[in-house]
Amino acid sequence: MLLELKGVKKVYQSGGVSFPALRGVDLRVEEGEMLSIMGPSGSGKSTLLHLLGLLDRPTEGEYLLLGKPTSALSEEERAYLRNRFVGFVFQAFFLLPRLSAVENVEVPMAYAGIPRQERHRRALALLERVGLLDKAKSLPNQLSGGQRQRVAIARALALNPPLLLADEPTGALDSKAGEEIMALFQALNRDGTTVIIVTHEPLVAEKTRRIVRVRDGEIVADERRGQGGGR
Amino acid sequence: MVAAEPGKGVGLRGKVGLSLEEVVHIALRAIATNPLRSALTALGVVIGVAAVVALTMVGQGTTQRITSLLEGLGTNLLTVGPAQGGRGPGGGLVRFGGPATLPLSDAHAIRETFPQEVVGVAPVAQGNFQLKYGVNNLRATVVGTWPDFAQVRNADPERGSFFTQEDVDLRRRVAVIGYGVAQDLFVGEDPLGQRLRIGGMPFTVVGVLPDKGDQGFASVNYQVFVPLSTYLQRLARLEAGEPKVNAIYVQGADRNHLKELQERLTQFLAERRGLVDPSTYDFSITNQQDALQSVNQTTLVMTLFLGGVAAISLLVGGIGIMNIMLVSVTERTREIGVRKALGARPKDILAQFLAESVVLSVGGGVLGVGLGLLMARLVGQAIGVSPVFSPLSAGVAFLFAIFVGGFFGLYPAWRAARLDPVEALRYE
Ligand SMILES: Nc1ncnc2c1ncn2[C@@H]1O[C@H](COP(=O)(O)OP(=O)(O)OP(=O)(O)O)[C@@H](O)[C@H]1O
Ligand SMILES: [Mg+2]
Repeated sequence: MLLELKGVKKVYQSGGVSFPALRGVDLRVEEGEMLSIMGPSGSGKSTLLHLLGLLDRPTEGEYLLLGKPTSALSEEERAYLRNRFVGFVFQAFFLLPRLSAVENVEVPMAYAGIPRQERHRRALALLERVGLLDKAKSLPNQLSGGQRQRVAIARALALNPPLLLADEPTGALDSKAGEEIMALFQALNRDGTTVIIVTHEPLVAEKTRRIVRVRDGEIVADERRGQGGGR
Repeated sequence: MVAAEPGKGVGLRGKVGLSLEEVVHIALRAIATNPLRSALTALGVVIGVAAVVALTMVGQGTTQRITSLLEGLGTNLLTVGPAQGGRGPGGGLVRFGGPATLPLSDAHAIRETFPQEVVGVAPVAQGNFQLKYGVNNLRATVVGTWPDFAQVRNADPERGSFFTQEDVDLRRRVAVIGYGVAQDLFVGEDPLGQRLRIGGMPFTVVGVLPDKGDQGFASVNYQVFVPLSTYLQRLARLEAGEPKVNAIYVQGADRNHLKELQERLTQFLAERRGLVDPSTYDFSITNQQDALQSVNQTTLVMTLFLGGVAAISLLVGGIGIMNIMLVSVTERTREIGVRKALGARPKDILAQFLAESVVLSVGGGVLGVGLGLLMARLVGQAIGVSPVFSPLSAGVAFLFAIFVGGFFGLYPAWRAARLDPVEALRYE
């Protein structure tokens, strides 16, 4: 079992009002799976993904990673896992605005202690893989939305993480680029990477064997099908 | 496989983190991103360090100059001068220029009454006169005195010799000239044996003093010494009555009894005048040792005071750094969130922001030392002091600047380090 959520709740407090974004989620994901999370806007998909990516902590319930409770992890250990275990593609990309595309891809590798030369070489290879080698030196504000998204994907793949979490990774892409990215994810999944994708697009979700449906902070369906990609 | 190699089979625990070089690199980039703001942030430290460096340099230069000036004036020196209100630094050397008030007979009386305790007596009367040699003109201070002056005030000629008692007795028109006078008036010629005109009166040069260095006021380099008798008769054009002098220099025999001699002379001169109440004394005696001490004390107090002011300005510079760093942490909340999401530990974020403030303050420190040297030179030139560079005070100011950067950078960096990643990412 790669990861498991047990009765996870997430309540946001803002301005004295508390909002339950997740109201008791149970989810198990095996190593090597590829699944999509679908649901209406505001249903808690990003919240769920943030929890899985150790960016946030559940208000209630437990998140087990490789069978071990994550609540016991120190900030340092969480940082390590975010760096090496999880690759995260944000819905809003979150590229560092002052760094060029290739430098953005290098950031996780810098925190992993990879020497500059090596890191630069690998970052260029990753950009080539997402079809953006010619934009390596461009700053994020010189890139289109789709191009930024691809830089964000290259960055998430920088340390070849065992778990890839992608929040609407094809949202800003045309269908051709979107298909290319999905093909890339499928290839990674065939090599053993566990891939979890949040998406609105049924065409994208169809490419995964398992679809988890979320509504109002709860999992309302967990469909597994024989056809499609993944295992 | 190397630990840095990416790949599968990553465990739950392990080491990540930036090297120091990496941290500094990130900091430098952040600083370069906003050069004007960075420069303004560092400015407080630049000014603080520059102030410490410049003030201590000028302060030490002043102390050294006054000390060497006082010491160059002769040893075991007591100066009898007109009554004075306070005894400021340099007392006993510059009460020139005022009217001559001391009766010359005091000098004779001191010589006769204290033959053991006093080894030299040199009364001086002086005024400014036009010097002329050939076509060259120069205005200089002409001092009439006794031959003891050479010994009492460390004024042995480098060439030729000082005038003698016989010259005084016979009122000869001979002169010993300062180094600067020799240079400027005799340009290239040997002054010895030449005749120059002082206030129109011809005098023969019998001695040239060595270069005493530029001592600013009362520079011996621009003085001319003539027998007192000649001076009083020919130059001061004294009318009838008791001749008066500006000051009387007295050299004590024994350094350890200088204080005692000072008291005895005071007593003696008061009795000669029939004065009892010290507040009515029309003369005063200053001790070179006192002057030295009070100079040292005054400059020490000044240096400490100014150093304190400078240190406060450094502190203000530190607060400036803290202020900007806090703003910068707020502005870069999103960046911090992204970095944390990508694997930055709290330590890495702390190091990044701390490095930024330390780089700013170190940069400020380096510029400050440079600017301080420049300021010291300019101020030194303006007030005629050659500043003394003290590696210690520059080093201390520099280290203090680094400390200020580290100390005041710590809080903003700590704030950045403990930001929650998701919260930080949400920040608009
Ligand atoms: N920090 C927060 N404070 C308060 N409410 C929050 C916070 N974060 C999210 N929420 C709320 O939680 C709910 C779920 O948000 P989430 O971002 O997970 O939605 P989502 O399913 O990803 O939607 P979308 O498809 O539009 O991206 C939303 O109603 C949102 O307003
Ligand atoms: Mg979302």
